[in-house]
Amino acid sequence: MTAVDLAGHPITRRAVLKGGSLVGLSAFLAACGVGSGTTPAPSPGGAATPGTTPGTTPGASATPAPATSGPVVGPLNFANWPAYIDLNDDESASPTLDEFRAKHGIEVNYVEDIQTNEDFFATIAQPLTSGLDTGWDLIVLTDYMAARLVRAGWVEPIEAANVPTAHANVRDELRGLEWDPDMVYHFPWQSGATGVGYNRKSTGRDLTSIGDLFDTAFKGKVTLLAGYQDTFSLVSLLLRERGDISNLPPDLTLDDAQKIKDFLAPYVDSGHIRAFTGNEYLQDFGSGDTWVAAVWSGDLASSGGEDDRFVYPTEGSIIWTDNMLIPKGAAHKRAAEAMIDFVYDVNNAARLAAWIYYISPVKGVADVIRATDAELADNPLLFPPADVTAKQYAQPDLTNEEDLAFNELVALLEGK
Amino acid sequence: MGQLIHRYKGAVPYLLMLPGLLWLLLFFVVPNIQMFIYSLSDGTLMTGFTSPPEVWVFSNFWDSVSRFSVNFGNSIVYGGLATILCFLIGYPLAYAIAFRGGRYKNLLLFLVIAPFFTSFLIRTISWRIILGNDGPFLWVMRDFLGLVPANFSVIGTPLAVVGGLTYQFLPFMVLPLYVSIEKVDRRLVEAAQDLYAGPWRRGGAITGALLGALVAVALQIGLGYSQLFGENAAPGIVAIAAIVGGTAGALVGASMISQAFLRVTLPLSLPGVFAGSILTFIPAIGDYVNAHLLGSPKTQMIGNVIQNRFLAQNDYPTAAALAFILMAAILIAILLYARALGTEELSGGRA
Amino acid sequence: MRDQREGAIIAGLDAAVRGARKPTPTQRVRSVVDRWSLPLFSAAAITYLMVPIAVMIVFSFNKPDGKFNFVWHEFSLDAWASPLSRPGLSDALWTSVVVAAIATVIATALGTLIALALVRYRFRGHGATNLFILIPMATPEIVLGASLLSLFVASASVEPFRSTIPPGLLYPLGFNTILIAHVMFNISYVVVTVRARIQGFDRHLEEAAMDLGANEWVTFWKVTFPLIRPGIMAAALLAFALSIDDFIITNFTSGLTNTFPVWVWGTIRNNLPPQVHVIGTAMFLIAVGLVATSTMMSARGQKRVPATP
Repeated sequence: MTAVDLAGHPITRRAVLKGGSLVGLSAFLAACGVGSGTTPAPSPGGAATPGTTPGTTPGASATPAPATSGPVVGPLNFANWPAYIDLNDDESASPTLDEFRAKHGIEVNYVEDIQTNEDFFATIAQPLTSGLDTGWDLIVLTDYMAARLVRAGWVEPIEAANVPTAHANVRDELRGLEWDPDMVYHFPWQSGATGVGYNRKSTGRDLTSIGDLFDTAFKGKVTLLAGYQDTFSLVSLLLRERGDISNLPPDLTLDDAQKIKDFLAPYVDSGHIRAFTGNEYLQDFGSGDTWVAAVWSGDLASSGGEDDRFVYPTEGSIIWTDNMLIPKGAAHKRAAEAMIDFVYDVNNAARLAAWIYYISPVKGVADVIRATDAELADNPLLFPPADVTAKQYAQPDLTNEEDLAFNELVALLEGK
Repeated sequence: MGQLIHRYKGAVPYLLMLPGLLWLLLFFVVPNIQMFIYSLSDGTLMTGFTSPPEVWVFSNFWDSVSRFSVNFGNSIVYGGLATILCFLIGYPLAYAIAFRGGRYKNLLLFLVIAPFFTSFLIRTISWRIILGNDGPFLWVMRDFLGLVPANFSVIGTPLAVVGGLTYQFLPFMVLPLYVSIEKVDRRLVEAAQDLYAGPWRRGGAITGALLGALVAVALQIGLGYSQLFGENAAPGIVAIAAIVGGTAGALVGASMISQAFLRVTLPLSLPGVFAGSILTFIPAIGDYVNAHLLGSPKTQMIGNVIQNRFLAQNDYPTAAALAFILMAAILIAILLYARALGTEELSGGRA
Repeated sequence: MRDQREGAIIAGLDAAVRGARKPTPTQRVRSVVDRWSLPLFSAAAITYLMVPIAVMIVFSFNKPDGKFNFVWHEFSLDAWASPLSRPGLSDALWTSVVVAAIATVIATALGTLIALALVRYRFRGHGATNLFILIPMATPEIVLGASLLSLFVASASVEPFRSTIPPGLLYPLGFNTILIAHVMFNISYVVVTVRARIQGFDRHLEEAAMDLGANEWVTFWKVTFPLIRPGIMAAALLAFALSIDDFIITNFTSGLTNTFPVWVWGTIRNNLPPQVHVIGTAMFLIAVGLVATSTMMSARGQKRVPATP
């Protein structure tokens, strides 16, 4: 990246000057290749204090955040989803993580521990309710779960001064969310879609729709995603097409959920649907035991086999964003902020998106990618075309009571 | 020193046992008490748990039994089938090693326990490879012999789960059987042979064939392949299973089951049968790895529910209640079984 | 009764047939069945036991097409050349070995003491202790794991644990809690194994030593311990094997820390590198080697021990 890119985003520079944290700034400048001559002389320790945090939310402001400024201290304990980080050629290390390590001189424990929002939430909920450190400094959760944590006050505020690049580069349509309008508690990691994945060789034909999941020819070779957020939303689009449901995924009611459950139950009973999975569908595609599945958009492209395909179904698809959060009491908060800022550098973001095939939340990634790989810049996984985005819907946003009721239906389907 | 020891001699065994029993008290008894408290608690993670003595939610027990009766059923059926299969495979094997192993006895025993030297998870993964859609088993059955349709699955069916369980715990069955059969005095067997005038081939063959066929039928029903003439039937597999089971049973029965066997060897090996079936049934009924890696939503066992409720949903009250029911059921089953077999040596430590 | 009669009839027929000079076809079939059916059946059963091991070894030489080592693609020594080149794998393996080693030492010590007490002394509560030792073995692993998790979690939030247990000891979950769990489930196995080996040994040897003026301490180390050492070794080996392979209990008590099985369980959701099979094969070979050595040693040891009448 060059100074030209920086010039394209004047807001970046302004944010930098306002922030003035030594580490954050020099890191940012180093990453952008700007000469040291332009560096203002900040005071050691940085100017950032908790008071400068814009917009505080009641739940989280009670306890003072540990180590808001000062040097970046590791190790950074980073929990993320599988197939969500770039890897080198022999897949033994990640260039992004290696560069971050080199830059800040700290260790990163990057663990692909998040298979589903619910499972991971369960592992951190107990310490959070007891007011204990979860052991993680940075976690990545989907919108609805991120909102739940923020509302519960279980997330540390992100020091704006420590993440100037992120504030500058986050795409405008991702700002101003109801649960965190000023990006105090979260920054998006990637966005993606839920659609239909299949193995072209096993199915023997190209698939186009959600309805293809229920083709009897694929009996026993179909998996859906665990929980209601993805599967129920997706199936609701099919039932909507058939006229059984009138609501769109964000507005699903318990009545709709019951219809969806009744629709799916016979397919589970007959063994048509073999499993409800998190990322394990990759495993089943790998062994040939899954031919068709509800999947997340980028996974098969980054981690699947040669014949594994993803399709945005004709009925529509589900769009979501996974967000970086710093759980309450995180021991290395400053390191987590450094990572957030690091991945919002447009070059780093481009490298990440190009490997994992998801939609980057960073402005200017398209340009950087187009400069090196024009074909990739037209990839609908990274940059969904207009006819796809027109039919993309958010996941349901439910109250706690509705969530419980939906989960009861899910548990009946999943057999546990 | 010696005098000191003599004076407090009565205390010596207690002192010897103190550290170990303390460990078991703190990390076996106390955890179970805490789990029992959770099983009578109320609430969710967000609201926090309300525990006895404030509330006594006994309904957790009834609710979880009725709610997860299918999973209990799966556990009992799969665990039971796996135990029976282990017995029917394990007994002739242990018998053959003990009576006809000769100088290969140690080698054969070593082969029986060899699976223990690999990781439990990797063994299950191996079964995924073998039974998988692109694996060797279906390659033979589907592509080579053409016995099953193109979209036939083994992974995700009860067959895969029971097969996995049987495999995992077969050595647990064979070893105690071997130990008890080995102890049988040959002179007794010979005396019995004289007394009952030799082998009993026809009876043995019939018994064996019946057992083999019975297992085939049990497998059909237990594994959901019972609709022999239905639209989803796999008659090829079922017929093969029945024929193979019957033939193997008849052949093995003919050469193993005799009057002398029924009157001497079998009764004397009952302690081994008891130990073996307990060592097989207990881990099988509580397992969740096989059902997770080889099964489907329909084949989830009670272990899967406990694991899911504890580790994924934080539904501690339900999970704790289920775990308690499982433990209580197993202890009762062992007592009944011990009485039925008349083995009083349960606590005698002849493992 | 009917069995007996039928048996007698068949025996009679048998005798009649045996009386004939030439072996009849039926007889020939019978002798073939007698000779071959059990060995063939055993061979089939042994094959069943061996196949997954063979698959593991074969697939450690696979170069999978994609991220999952599920389908044979092509022969390669890559995974053997870099067996630890997966992130987190070497840490997990190291944790497994350290936990197993420490748990083995502690559990073997505690279990052997209990076994000695149970075999050598008659005391009030003997039978109850015998039974109590068996209960953890009769409890499904998932219940052991779940109850430990209950305690560990409660230790941070529920009285009386919260104020009595030092923070950080039992929660958050990690190395400590894995170790505690492994010692716990191993104790019973050690007790049973050691007890079985020392039950039959000759107490006259000890009495003789005492008669010759040795005190209990000297007698124990000079006479008793050498005699029961094979039993202790066997128990330690069993404990180590159980510990290093445990998944179900460890999964409940490991928190952020990975042991090798827990690492495999996590990684298999999104990739299954052939390194897993390499490590599995290596562990298999090491275990086989160890058992072979210890079998030879204990065989030699047993020869030295005078047989009890």
